Amino acid sequence: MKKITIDPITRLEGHGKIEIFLNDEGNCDRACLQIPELRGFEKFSEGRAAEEMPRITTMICGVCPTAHHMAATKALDDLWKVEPTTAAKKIRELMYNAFQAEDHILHFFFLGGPDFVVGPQAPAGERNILGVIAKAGMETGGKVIEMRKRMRNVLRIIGGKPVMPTCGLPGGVSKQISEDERKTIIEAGEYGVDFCKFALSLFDDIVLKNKEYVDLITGDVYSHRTYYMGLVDENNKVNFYDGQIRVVDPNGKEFAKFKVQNYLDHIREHVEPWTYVKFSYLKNVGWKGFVDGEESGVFRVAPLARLNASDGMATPLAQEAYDKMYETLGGKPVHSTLVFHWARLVEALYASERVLELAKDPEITSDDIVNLPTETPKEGIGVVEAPRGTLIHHYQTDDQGILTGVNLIVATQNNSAAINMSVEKAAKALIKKGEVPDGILNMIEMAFRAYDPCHACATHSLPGMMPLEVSVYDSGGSLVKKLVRD
Amino acid sequence: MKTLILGVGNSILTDDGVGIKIAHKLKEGNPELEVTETSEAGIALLDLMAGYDKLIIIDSIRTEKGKPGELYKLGLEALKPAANLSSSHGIDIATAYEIGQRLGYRMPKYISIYAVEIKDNTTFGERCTEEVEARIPFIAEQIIGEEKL
Repeated sequence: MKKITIDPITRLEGHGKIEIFLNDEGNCDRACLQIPELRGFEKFSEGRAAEEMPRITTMICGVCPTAHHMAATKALDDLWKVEPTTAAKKIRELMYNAFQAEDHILHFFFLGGPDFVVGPQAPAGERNILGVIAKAGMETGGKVIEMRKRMRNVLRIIGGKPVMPTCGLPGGVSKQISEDERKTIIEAGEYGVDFCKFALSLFDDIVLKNKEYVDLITGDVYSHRTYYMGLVDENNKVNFYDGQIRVVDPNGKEFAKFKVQNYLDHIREHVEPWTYVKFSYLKNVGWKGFVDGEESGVFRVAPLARLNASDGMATPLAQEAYDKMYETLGGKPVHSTLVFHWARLVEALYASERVLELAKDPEITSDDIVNLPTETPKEGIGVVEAPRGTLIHHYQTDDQGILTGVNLIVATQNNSAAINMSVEKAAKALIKKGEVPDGILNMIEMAFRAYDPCHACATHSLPGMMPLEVSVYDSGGSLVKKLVRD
Repeated sequence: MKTLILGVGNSILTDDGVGIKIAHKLKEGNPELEVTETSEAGIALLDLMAGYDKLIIIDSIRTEKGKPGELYKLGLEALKPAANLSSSHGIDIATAYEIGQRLGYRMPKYISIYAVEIKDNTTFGERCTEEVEARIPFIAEQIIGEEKL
């Protein structure tokens, strides 16, 4: 049998590739992030029964299967025009918040957080969870694992499986929650609330008390004045599971608020010749290129965007954390990309509090968990807030419920214009007169890691992580430098 | 010895799911084997591998000059350089293993990682490409022989 060692070149095939083009002066002219293209999902889905979609779409992405499951389930509600029972809505929302809490904590401690906790200047090999454990203590590592374990157990109880839930049905869910299960979920919620309070205090101690980090967070390199989008409830508070889509302008003023069924009146997709990624933008502002400001239709989604697009959090402790964040940073909206990490912790606290609230709700163990569909299907649209932002599923079927059309607007796609802008801004700040510092790789990575992009998630081939390659070209198109992080 | 066979991949992404198919093939021939499939990678593997003495991972791989259907056996150290992280999948098996050890989990003493060279993992489809599909029974036999299953 052939034995091999994986070298960086083989790791890079089709993966994260950043190209930076210099002008005649040797400064960055433009930068773009290339990612692999996955082909044929629409074709794969057409001809299948629509009710398979909550289970099929969980397989698109190994990172946020619960988000796809829920968006698909809600699209089926709309397809059959069936309103789920109130207990079913609560069960779904409970499961969804357990997922958000777990996913946000994973990101903060394993992926984005190491930049801060270990330090942005630390060697790449230390900026990972092992570095976090080394700095914050073994006990912290244990707590992170325990938090994830408990929330994943909630997903298993409700969803059937911890990773790819199977519980969503048009009009409800397939299984009620028992009294014993409720107790387990309450304990998980309590653990989650305590853990998120601890995580925010850790952020306070390690990041906010360090001037260097605060300057980095609030500095211009990582700032963009864009529009922001997120789901809100009837009081304009953040809601991950349901509500209307609200958009605020770069000054924080409400620009639009609409039901997802009207998304095509507000969201459009721009295509560029150099990438397969479609760039979402606000139709009523228009595509003006990879630029920020009120005149540009570029908007952002995900934690900071949701907080900016809302009037607050619907739970008390998260509201306190929300107020503190905006007070510290000088009011709303906040445009600094690195603040996505802080907002992620505020949201994780909200999600944990909401798990607890819903688990204590008397109706959560009700057996009235599904309304059977009776209408003839035709078209259905569903939305949720995935951890990485607004996620929309749109299905069309024949009158037997066989899919004839599928369109998904995924979270990372909504942020993709901004991600490119952030990469370009970091490159412009760091590359001067043809000098390309080696540290640029980390600074660029920090820019897009804040968004927690999901680019590598649909393929799982070894080694199971996204390598990154940065190529710099001079104004004549010749390659002048290549940096690789494997 | 408590052994887990873990098929890793995405079974609706053409060849990406080959590891899962091979794991099922092993189970068909020997229903007593403990076989699990996952589409997750990295840290999630920690939850799956803890508590076993031996772990056999079957996954897919794309190398520069590899021939689709070729089987490789990797050591944990081959995956080791991936110490920096950039996506939620961005924690390699080796790091997940090290985290488990440091946190005091009972981690497998023996780990074998098999990787099948694939052709297409970017097109949605439930079947592998012909070259890869045709090799599945043979690869299953190779792993049975190698691991004395």
